[in-house]
Amino acid sequence: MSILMKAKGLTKTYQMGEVPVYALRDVDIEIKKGEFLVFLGHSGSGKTTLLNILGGLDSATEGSLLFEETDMSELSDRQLTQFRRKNIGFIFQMYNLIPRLTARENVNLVTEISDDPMDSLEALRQVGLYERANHFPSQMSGGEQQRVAIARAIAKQPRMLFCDEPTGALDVKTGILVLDAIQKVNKTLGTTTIVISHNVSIAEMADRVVHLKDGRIERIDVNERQKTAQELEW
Amino acid sequence: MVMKKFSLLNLKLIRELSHLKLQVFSIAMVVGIGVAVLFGFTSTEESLRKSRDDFYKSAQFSDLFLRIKKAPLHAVHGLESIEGVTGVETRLEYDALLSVPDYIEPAVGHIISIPDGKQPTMNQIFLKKGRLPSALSEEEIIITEGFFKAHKFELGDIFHASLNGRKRQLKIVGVGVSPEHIFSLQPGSPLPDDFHYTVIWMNESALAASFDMRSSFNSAVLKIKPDLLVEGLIAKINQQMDRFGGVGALGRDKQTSHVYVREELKQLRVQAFSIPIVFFLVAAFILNVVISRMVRSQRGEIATLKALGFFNAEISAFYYKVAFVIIGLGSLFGLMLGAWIGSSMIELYGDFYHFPTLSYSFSIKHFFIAMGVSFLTASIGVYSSLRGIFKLSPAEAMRPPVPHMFHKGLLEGSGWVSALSTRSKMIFRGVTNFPLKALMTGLGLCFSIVILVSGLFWQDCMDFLLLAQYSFVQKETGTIRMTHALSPNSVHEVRRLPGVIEAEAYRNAGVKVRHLNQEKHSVIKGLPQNPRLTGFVNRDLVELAPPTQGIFVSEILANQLKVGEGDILEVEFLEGRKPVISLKVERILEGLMNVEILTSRKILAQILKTDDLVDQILFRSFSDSTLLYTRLKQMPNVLSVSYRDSALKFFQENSARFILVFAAILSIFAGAIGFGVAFNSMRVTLSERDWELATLQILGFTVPEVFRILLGEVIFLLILFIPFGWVLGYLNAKWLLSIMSMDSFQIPFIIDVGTYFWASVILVISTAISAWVIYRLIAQSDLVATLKSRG
Repeated sequence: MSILMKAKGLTKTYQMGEVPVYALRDVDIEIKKGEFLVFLGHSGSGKTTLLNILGGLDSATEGSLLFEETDMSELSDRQLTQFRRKNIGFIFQMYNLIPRLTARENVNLVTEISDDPMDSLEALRQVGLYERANHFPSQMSGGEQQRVAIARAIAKQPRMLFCDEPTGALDVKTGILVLDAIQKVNKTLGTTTIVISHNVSIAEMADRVVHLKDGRIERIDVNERQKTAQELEW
Repeated sequence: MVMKKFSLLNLKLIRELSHLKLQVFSIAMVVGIGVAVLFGFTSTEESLRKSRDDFYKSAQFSDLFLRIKKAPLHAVHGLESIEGVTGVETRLEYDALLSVPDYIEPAVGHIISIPDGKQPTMNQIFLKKGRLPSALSEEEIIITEGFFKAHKFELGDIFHASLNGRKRQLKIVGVGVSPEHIFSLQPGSPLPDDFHYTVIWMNESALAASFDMRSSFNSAVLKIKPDLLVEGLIAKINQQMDRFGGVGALGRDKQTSHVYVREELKQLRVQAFSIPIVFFLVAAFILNVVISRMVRSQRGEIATLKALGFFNAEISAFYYKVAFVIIGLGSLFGLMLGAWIGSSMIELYGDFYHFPTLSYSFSIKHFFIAMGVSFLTASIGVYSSLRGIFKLSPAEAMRPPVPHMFHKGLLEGSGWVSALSTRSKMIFRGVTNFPLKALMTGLGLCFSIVILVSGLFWQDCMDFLLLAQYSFVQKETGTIRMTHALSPNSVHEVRRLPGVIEAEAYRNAGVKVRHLNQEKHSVIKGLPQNPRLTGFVNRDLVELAPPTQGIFVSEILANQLKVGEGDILEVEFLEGRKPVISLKVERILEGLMNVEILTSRKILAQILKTDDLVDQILFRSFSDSTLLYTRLKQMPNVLSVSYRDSALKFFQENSARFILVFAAILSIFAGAIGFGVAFNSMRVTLSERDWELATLQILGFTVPEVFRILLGEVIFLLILFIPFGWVLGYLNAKWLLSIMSMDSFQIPFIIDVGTYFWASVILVISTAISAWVIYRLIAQSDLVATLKSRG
């Protein structure tokens, strides 16, 4: 598999009064095309900071980040927005759907600004919500809302899918349904997927598991066999 | 413990206010303007009223005014014996043609006699400069300040007057003003003209000698007991004095200067309360929006405070304090602005209304009224925001509020909404899912249009009036009044004068007209056959044929008499044998500034059973009329000359300044409303939906794209409510005109399309400015921080 993204020496510091606080220290990582990665760590380990930087939501204080041939540290705000628009799909713990739009419209929102989107109903079909296309988020369960968020993320056919604690607000059964949908996207569409979680069980789905602690990569495990979402238990 | 609570909440107050800087500013501005107008206008009204009342009192302003042709002095005993009359002063009053050095056009002086070398007992003259004429002087006079300044006179300067056909030299020894002429207007002219008209006070003996009026009088002023019915007294006076001819007695309520001042005060009072209402309503609304938002976002904090043992009253006191600080700042700004508006207005009034002293003053009462109203505004705004939260128990309030259940709006069934882009649907539902908020914001926005339309339409009305009057009705260059009725042949004499292109002769007769139980004093003007210098137009400025058999009545008089076309008017002539006759109203004439009745000269002669006579000649002349004016000044039968254009010019110069200042101030005021409403609406939406807007940016929307969604809601409301603002503006303007209408002067109700256009443009500009500020806020927002704040 060829390299899609390459980070070297990524460091992120925040200034708290006179003391610099390190959110990320000297992180090196290579992400391959089509890979399923899980970033594992406790809260404050730096996993969300790393995801934000990789996804173009934040910039590193030091280090370099290449997306294929593009040096992301050179990009302006506007170019970063274009980058996200074209390449990245996001899924959040709190779904972040637009409450005033139906499921289909939430997906349309993204397809209307994408170059080569899939049909919004097709995206909803892929997450098993074709029948609920005309419902508003407030009329759906948390799991359904998260699956709409997945449909919204994949509808633009992104190169990478970033999922920040996608099951954090869901019960086990619903969580598995959501992870199943994410896994399908990864397998069938070949979308490079990064899931961040503090749930160790989820790591068993990944090709590789990146363990983060105190802003550093503690270790990277390679799973010889990836479990399906249905096989997970927690 | 109490102290601790107090300081804790006070600290929070300071933090909140600094956080809301721009919102504090925009609300304070709207409140400030409301206070400024309320305070500025009421104090101006108070200053003018006080100046007027003081002057009336100190100068012994008379209650009744009597004009007759000629009565012997002993007739005064009859007047004095009428019950209720406490004082009578006789005098002489004449108009005279004036010839001012280095000024080609003749002017007109309205000469009033004073006891030789002394102040009259009533309507005394306040000397702004100089002195009274000395007792034995035959040439010393006092003139009005406007005329004195217009001609750059100095005390001791000399000009000439044609008194009873004889040229007399007059010497200025004083400049004065009397309560009778605070607003100085040449009879028959609707507009003041300081270049061509002045009141002149001179010794009675000198005037009597010129007009052969020794031991006679043609004018009297009377003082009556207070709280007496004037109508009854006037009837008794007229009964006694009818045999001496003339128009009879008038009450103070019909005295020209008094009427103008009274109407001005009425207008100020109406404006003082009608304009600020809009500002206070808008301020209450914006405060409600801001405080409600604050309360919603601090729901958890409020619950915690309640759980900690704070009472509802203590917590509400905090929000009231926030509102009162904002309102207090606005009021302070408003009081300062109001004082400035008041003093500027007083200065402008000084050009039209001549008082001995006109100084700006305000009473503490107005200060408290303005402050009181603004604090009431704040209380309404806060109370409506807090009502809901205190109904909840602390535990309930600590949970996040139930999210809004969005649904497809009513209009979405029609199909056109589904054709919209997703972003347009967001905008559409943002408005239709919160109809009350949308309605209030829309109304707030359209109030700025209401303010502007109601302020700027006056100019449209005046433009129409001047266009109708001076382009279609009055086509002459000037009007000559003759000393007495003459043969129609005298028009030939005028036609032969150098520079005159054409001339027409008219006849005027003073009348009392009655219809149902209404009675009015007026003048019937007899027109020559096929008049070319007087036109008749309807409201659409279409020319009409002149009267043939009956009479034309000006709309203003028709309204006062409640008479319509085809009705019969009873007309009592005030000259000759005073015939009483019924005449049919052929047409009601719109667009006329004066109270007038028109008929043909022939009919007038038939009614009065006299030959065809004329007393007024209208002429059209070439622009350079030096020779013409020189000759007019020498003609013995010429009583006065008035010029159409100079009155118009004077009015336009003065009113243009007034209207320009007024329009500029109103535009700023309306802009403040537009800014305040649009900014706060967008600011609150931004803070309530920051998470949603950040999500959009993360999904790949650019800042301008996100901003357009926010702006879209305001634009949607603008499109929806601007036409509503036009309608409200139209209705408000119509209402303003109706409550400000005057007895003697009617303004036609016209609103030009341009007024609606400019009102809308100013609203759009002020919205654009607030949108720009919001755009900056979005561009500077930190996406990650926003998401973290709720994630």
